[in-house]
Amino acid sequence: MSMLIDLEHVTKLYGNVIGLNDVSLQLSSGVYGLLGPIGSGKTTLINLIMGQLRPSIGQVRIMGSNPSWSGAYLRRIGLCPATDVYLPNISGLDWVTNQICLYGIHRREAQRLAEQALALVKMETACRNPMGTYSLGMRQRCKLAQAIAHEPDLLILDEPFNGLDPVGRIEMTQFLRGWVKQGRSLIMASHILHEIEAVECSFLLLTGGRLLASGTLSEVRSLLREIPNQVRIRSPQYRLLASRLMGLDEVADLRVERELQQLLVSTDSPAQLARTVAKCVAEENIQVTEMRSEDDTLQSLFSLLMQLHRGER
Amino acid sequence: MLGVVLQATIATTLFELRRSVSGQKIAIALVLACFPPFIMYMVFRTVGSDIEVGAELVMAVLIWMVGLLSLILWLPPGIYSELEGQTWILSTSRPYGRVSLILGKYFSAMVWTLLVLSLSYALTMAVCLPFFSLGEFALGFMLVSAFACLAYGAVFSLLAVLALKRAMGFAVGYVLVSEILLASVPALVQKFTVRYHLQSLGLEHISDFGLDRLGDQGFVRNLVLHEPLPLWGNYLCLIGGTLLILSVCLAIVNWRQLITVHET
Repeated sequence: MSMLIDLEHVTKLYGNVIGLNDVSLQLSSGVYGLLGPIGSGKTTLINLIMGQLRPSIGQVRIMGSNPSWSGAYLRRIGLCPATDVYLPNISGLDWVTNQICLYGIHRREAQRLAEQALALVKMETACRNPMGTYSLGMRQRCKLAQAIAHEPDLLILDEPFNGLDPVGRIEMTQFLRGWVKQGRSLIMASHILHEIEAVECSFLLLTGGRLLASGTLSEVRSLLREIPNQVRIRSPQYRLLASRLMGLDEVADLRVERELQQLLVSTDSPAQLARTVAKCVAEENIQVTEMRSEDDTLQSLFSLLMQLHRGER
Repeated sequence: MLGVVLQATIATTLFELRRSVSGQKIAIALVLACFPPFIMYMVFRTVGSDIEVGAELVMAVLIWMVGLLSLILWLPPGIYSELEGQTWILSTSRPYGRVSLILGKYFSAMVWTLLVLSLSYALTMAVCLPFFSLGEFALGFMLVSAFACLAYGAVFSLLAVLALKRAMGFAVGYVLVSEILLASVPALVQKFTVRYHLQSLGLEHISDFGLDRLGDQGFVRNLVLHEPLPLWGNYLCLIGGTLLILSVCLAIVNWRQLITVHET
């Protein structure tokens, strides 16, 4: 497999602020999820790949080229940025066509490619209306259309699910799965784990400008299972449930909230706790109306990784 | 490479022209275009056709001002809003996106300004017709206007990529210091201003602007044009200067690492 992206000890500074901190990364063709909280350096990494930014320290090579000196590789990349595009008096078709013309493609051919791409993202009926009449989700689809219209080898998506309704999310997921099935490469950045989970890929976990970990979905899941978690369980029989949970190894702390008829359980093993509660429901007919994790699991994952990184665990 | 840049620039220019058509912009263009004929009408109504300086000189100054105003209003804000705006990242993701975007903005501002100047000139001719015929100067005016747009457009584009959101202020400062103050100093420094070369073209292609009616012709001519260059020298300075400034502007845009205001 050819090397798509090669970063060697790359640091990017914005004045005194560190955008990316000593990141080394070699990615061959494939599907990657760039995962990290807001402000973790995902967009900085994408901008370095696109040549919009140059590294303060280190070296970046994309498809064998140095982005600072050669932009030819950009023809093989499609970018769908996180920023919204709002041009009220221009139609989606006109905008996408113009974006394709910027590759030096003749206008007639560019319009054909634009229509094809807009049809792929289910915008064929609305594409001739002004963008001022579009919803956020429709503008997101137009951005995706301009990224795929010239049939790139690598598609880079920054927060692609922003603004999409549930149906749009399903369609986007289906589209991305189709893209991957064609054997094309994909890098998808998001701060929400389940968005990236939807497309089977390898994960790159960024936080504070550092590449903390990389791995497959099962590896990330196994890490999540070990994270201390606080679980809220709502039940009309909360007292009975509390008595059953009290004293179990997986329960580190338990608090009863009478007014809300719920328990707040701290656990080192959320998976085991879930099994115990399920057993109570099945064997003792305890009714549970709601059970959910209090923590943002991704944030917890990053906290755990930071602790591992510092040698605190 | 040149073919790609040319094609992308033409596409961007046409796109920018379509994008920039709005009621507000058309209203501003009409107000700008009506300014010279209104002033000329007031002048002729007050002093009649017995105007001391040439009518074509008053008209040239007014149209020069309108051209500058039009470019200042549309070019620097158009460029810096794009550089710090939503779609910059998309332009940088195209091999020659940065170059074609700046050139597209530059040429679309040219087209708007030349349309305003043409309309302004036509209206002025119509208003002045009962007093004075300006038809014979039409071609000369359009030629000088085109060179003015090219040269000033390049300067304002450079200011836009250097000063970003402060570009309009810098453009006004440039006009006051360079084009009004320095261009009026009868010394070598005059030759570094755009107005000096436009005046030379104007004297050649439009008229002598009634300078001979102002008395001491030598003194006034020296004030307007200190040690005149040959005509080809003026063309060379305007074309060469425009190309040089645009090249510097494009080099800066290619090299600058701009973060859009939406990124954190």
